[in-house]
Amino acid sequence: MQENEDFDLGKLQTWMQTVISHAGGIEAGIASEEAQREFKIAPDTLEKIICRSNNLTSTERLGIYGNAYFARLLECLRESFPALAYALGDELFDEFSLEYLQRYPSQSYSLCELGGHFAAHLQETRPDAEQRAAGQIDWPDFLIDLATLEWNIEQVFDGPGTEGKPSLAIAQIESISPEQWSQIILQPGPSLRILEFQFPVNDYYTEFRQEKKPEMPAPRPQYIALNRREYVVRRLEIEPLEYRLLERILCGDSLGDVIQRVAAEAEVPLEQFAELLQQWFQKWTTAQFFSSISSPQAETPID
Amino acid sequence: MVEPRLGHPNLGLGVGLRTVHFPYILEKHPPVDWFEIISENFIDSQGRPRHTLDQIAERYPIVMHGVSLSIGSTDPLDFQYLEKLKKLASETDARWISDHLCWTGVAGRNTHDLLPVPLNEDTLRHVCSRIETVQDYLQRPLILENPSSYVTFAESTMSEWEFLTSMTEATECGLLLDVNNVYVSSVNHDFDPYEYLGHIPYDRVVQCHLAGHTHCGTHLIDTHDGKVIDPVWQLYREVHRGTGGISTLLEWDAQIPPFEVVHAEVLKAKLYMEENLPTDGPQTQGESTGEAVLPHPLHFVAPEVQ
Ligand SMILES: [Fe+2]
Repeated sequence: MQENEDFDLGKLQTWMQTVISHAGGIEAGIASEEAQREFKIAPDTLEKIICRSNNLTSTERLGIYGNAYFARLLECLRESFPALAYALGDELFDEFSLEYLQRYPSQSYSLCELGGHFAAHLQETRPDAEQRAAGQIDWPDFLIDLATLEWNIEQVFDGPGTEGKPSLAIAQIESISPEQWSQIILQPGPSLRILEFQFPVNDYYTEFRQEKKPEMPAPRPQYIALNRREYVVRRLEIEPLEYRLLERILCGDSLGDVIQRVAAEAEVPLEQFAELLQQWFQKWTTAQFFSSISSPQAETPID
Repeated sequence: MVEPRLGHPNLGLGVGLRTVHFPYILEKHPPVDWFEIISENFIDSQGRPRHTLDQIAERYPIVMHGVSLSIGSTDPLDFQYLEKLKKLASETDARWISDHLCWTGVAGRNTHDLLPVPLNEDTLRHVCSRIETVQDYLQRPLILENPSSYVTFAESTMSEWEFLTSMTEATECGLLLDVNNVYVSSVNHDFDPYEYLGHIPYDRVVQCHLAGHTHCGTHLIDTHDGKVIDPVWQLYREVHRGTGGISTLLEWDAQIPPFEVVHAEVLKAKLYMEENLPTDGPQTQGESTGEAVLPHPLHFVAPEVQ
């Protein structure tokens, strides 16, 4: 290695990070092009950078960091995606995770963000791109759905919530005058998320948590609303029409626009639609989906 | 003349706050002197972890201990992260904010490990200038811990105690002396832990850590998964004598037992404040449990879902 006046901490850190996070292990890391760019060194001359100890060689010592790197992050992913890990089995889950960690190494101070691209990674690396193009729904879709569900549950758990604040009551909706009705905007609570799946992964997740050892289900669309009450994540299955309505509401559309648009697409008789709406408003307020009502004209919340 | 503990109080015997103990602590209000939190588990929390912390902070002194400051890295400091630390410290009345003498990543990446820095004049200057920036921003002294390490560098020209001493004298930062880490590193790097302690400027030590580790035959790994072994308690006796009493905290991060067990372990420290010996016989070696041997820091909070 160089004389001390040439000492370059950045170079050493780039080299060390490259070596210990190399998927092929320390020796492959040292030989890798990236590491060689920093230090042209072979494992048998590693002592120029890393000292040996009485008991261990330089390579063995550096290997302790190498072993820990993927093991630590894999453990974290396993905790973030327990149902996905079960569905894949340990070996395959670790294999997918290892690929993922190489494509998306952590760039955050927090481990909580480690799994943020996992569903996207599964989509990007799916082995069946051709069948997919032909409209087939298959195993990769199931995995992507499951990863999406687990990731969203984690986000809702520690994200913003409305604990300690009042939520919108059904009486408040019922008290709105007919003239105001189409103009108002329902303000969703900050934890509300709606998810559309090609597989019934919510049922699968429930069975997994009940230790019922579920098998991969046959595909069928499933729509789920997630929110948080009393610091616990709640999962509620919703109907496709509810999903469409909530989708528009979450975009900030006025109730008049929401209903007009969705009713037109739904091909449900208007009378029946009105009845369903009433049921759903009841269901949504019980589940505390909304925090308040506002009117764009008044610019103030309606109590 | 420096005040003992840089003027900080001796908080007594504390326990690292872990989510598995939340229900017990909220229900029983155990008579533990203080809690240390892993800062990264709370600075972004808007759910149960933060809500629980707020309740605990009403009853107990809180200290913030971080794993992502990366004071030794050549990447720029993350001021967004510092802003969050500062905000949480003010909201929980944190007594001090600590992290490690280490780097965690470079080129925008985070390895989530506490990687050692070569110990020489260059890195000392680099670390000191970053400590000063952080202290200016946080408006309080930073407290830095000696990490457990598994390698030493050919480019090191000084011992860890020399580095720590120069660092605290130049910046007036405080030291968090992890007694288990001194022991782990002394075995891994073939030095005498008593010589190390003999050179520590005790008036600048604000806090100490105790923890268990795993013996891997040829080296030790800082796993935080068990009881404190007798040689570490003997070193603690020395630290207690040198500091004249110091805020002491037990870290237990893997295979975490019930709260009472963790609390009872840190209370054993009292035995080493007098010239007593433990009553349940000394544990002389970290027991390997067959679980994955991983150095901390792991910090993951499992969601509650229905
Ligand atoms: Fe520690």
